[in-house]
Amino acid sequence: MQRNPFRVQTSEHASNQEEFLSLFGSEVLEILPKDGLWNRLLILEAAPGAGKSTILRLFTPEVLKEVHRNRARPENLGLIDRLENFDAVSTRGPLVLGTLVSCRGQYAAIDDLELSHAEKRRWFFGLLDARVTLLTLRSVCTFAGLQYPNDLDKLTIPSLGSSTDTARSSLNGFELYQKAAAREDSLATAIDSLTSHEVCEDSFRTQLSALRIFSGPQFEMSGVYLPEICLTMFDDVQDLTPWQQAELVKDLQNRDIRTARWMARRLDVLSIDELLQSGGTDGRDYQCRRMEDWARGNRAKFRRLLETIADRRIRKTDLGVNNFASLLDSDLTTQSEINGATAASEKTREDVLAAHGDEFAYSSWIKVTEADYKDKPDAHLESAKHWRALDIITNRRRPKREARLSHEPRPPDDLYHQKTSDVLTAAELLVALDHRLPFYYSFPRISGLASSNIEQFLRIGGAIFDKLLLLQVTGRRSNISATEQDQIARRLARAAIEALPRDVPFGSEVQRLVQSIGTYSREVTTREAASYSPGVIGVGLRQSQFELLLDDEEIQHRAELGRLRDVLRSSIAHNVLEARGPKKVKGHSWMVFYLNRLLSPAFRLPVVSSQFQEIAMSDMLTWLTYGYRPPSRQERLLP
Amino acid sequence: MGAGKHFNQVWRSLSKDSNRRILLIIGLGFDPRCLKGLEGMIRAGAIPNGCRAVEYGSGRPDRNEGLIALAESNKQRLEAILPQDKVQKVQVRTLSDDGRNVGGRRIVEAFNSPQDYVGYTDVVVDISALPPGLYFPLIGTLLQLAARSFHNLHVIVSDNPALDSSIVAEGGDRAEMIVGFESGTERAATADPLHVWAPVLGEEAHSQLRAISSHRDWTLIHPVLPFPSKNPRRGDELVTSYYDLLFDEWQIEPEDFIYANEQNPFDVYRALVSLSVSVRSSLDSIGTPQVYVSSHSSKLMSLGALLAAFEEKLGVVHVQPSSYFIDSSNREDSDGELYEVWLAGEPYATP
Repeated sequence: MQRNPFRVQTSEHASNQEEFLSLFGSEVLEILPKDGLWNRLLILEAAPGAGKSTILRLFTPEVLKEVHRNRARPENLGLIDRLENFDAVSTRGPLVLGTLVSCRGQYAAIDDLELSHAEKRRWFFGLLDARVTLLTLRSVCTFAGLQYPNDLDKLTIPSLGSSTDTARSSLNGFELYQKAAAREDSLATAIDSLTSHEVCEDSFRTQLSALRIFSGPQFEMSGVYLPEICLTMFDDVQDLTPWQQAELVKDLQNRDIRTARWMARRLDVLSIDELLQSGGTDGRDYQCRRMEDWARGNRAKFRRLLETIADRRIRKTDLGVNNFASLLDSDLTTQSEINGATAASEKTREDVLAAHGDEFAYSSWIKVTEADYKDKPDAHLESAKHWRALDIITNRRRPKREARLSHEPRPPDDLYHQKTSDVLTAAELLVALDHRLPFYYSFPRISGLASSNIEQFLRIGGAIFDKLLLLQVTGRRSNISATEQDQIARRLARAAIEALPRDVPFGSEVQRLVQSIGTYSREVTTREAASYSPGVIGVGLRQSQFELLLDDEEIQHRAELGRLRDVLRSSIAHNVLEARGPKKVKGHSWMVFYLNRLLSPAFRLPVVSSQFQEIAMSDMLTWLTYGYRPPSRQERLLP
Repeated sequence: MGAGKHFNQVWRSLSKDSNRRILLIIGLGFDPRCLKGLEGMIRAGAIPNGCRAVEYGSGRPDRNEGLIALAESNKQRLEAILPQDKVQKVQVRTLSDDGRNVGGRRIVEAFNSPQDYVGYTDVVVDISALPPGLYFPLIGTLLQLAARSFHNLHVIVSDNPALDSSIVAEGGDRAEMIVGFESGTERAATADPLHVWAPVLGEEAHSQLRAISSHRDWTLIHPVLPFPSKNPRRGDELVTSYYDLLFDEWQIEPEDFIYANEQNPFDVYRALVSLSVSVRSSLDSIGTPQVYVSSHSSKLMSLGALLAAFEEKLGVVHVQPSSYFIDSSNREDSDGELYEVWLAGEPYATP
């Protein structure tokens, strides 16, 4: 039975190193800073599924060794190149001993115990320090190909860092293991206990002593080469409580730690104003990278990354295909699509002539459009697009009635100048809406629906592969038509919206807000003049109003603001809405909330756009409770 | 275990012992089943001598007016059934100020004092209206206290899988170990850990299963399907519903499935204990097997999972939702069948 390769566990959880590497797209490493990778704290932030944990896993010993073993394979050359540029590998082998430390689990539970804050702090560092020690020792064994923990007596950790718990000239690895294991057991048992919380006094710490210990000279293991760079990577930092995170970040910036240290966290723990800060902020002792910002700022690179990921997965199948994008029709090709586009072209032309045929000012525009597409039966969709674009541009000028009174037709160059790609995209979208043609097709648009998130792209890829398999099994075709891609995109969008109440905190309200933003955006997008080409995909709140959501005192007085803050925070953290700002428009600053692109097809909105519509806070609060209600016909007619 | 008319027989028989003093613990919220157990016991003549009613909530203003009304109605019904001097309300906050799930620890603190059980011979926990994040640690605590305190521990539940399906958990996407059931599974000192997961499947748990799937690198996954079950096709429907997850993501083979009687928690218990024993003996030579269970099915099946976890020291992993709502389009009649399970005490005493 052919498995869907897009639903194979994401590379983060791949069952073995070879599979992990076969799924890994090395372009994602471009997010890492070129300098300071090994001597400053690096913080990676992103929504779930963006690929943070996958990056960390690459630097673990088992994976780096696998990379080195297979460095000559063509599919690994790009990866090797990038790793060598970071000084993570050389021709001799890995230069980094990476240790992955998950912050999931019991750390946060310490905060729930009946202890003073000082005690909680000592328990937290005690448990984390014990685990950093144990996991680093495990990494050493993995790197050296030895058994953990029995072979640790072969390991010597030479002279210690400056602030230590015991002053010795060197430590034996197995002794270090035993002590750390005892501390871990004592604390972990106490944290999980239902009745009592006795802990060995020796278990507590006030900082990560392990990193100080490992900051000394290189480990020694008889007859075994061990890398010089010791890297500790803290994953899922969002699962710590806020004070634990702050304490960890503070400790990791301490200059007596000379090991490399990275941390990865999801967006959902940040306060809302932190969420909206640029992900590229760096301090003196740390560097911060937000993965979605990188993806948005490097669209071409991100698309290449998605292509790589898709190609690697499709090659794992029996289909004999090497390139995923080639499976997606990038034009209308079926007879039904062609017929639809031809009819759309004719109807659009008729409508434009009926509306503007007698306007002398636009006569030359009409003439060139006729000339450009007459006798070109194959250019059906292009023809429809350009006629519709003419209609859009003309309607924008309509209020200026001088067009009818003009003695001179507007020059063709004027039309070509205004027919930007945004206008053409808006035109195509409106033609698709009016004539029930597909719009969400071709690899650029399909990959655009991923909204800077790899896991989201895999979900889309999975649905497309299901369709492909069905077509192949029934012997119909080996490509997916534009109509089929469009249907898949719209189905996924609807399913994602339906699932919101279950999947996301405050999900029912998130769903209502998303539906409101989508419906309102569609209404603005499809207005006659398409003023916001290619289309609106979000809303903006004035900065001064948005700041009310950051004011705890204001929120105490107005419960509805607290609700909105919770809903926005959940929406942003789970990549349902993308927050950007402040943006300066019409002399004011705006905080903008864009829909996740995956949701665009549910509302027939464009995939790529930066357009938004300004709304009042009161509107958003109303939508939260009642949803957006489009104005009635009578209301629209009122002055 | 007593179900239906056997439930009545069990409590009728127990009520005849005048030395018995019964403390009933219930969840008092919006669930229409929250007082069914109490009403059933009273009908059988077993009137509790005391009642501790757990009122749990996030600590934030509730936004669902329908659920608020249901909860209020249940409170009024309780006041009508039992004299108020017999009832103690216990407030359990489920979310911390920073939005973390703390209900498990809070309910343990509220119920772990042996002094609270002085004078009682039997403690009865009605889990019908309590979420797993609360009743797992609660029952775990009471199991530890039973031997040295009140002696007999019963669990009752008004089982209604259809109603369970219509109560939708909102916004759960973070997997964590339930308080008291970490069971040594999170230790970095463990050599070559092999993580084996047995999810007890139920409907509409896609996001929870995905969250738990991401929680660990699982060596093996053995989904538990309800069979036999009231709806004989329920197992098939679950497999269909989770097809992508089971076969594409998890690569489950047909022999990986485990089957357990939907209406017999001891069958679930036996199946999971058997899995645990089998895994430990077969994987012991290549690593340290650690078995986890998660429950996404009915309360009755989850009780079996709890017993297995307690006895075999299995890890219990759970996704705590941010809130619940009732999907009224899917809501069925709220009368379920009453079950009583005697977990500790007289039946197990060695002669």
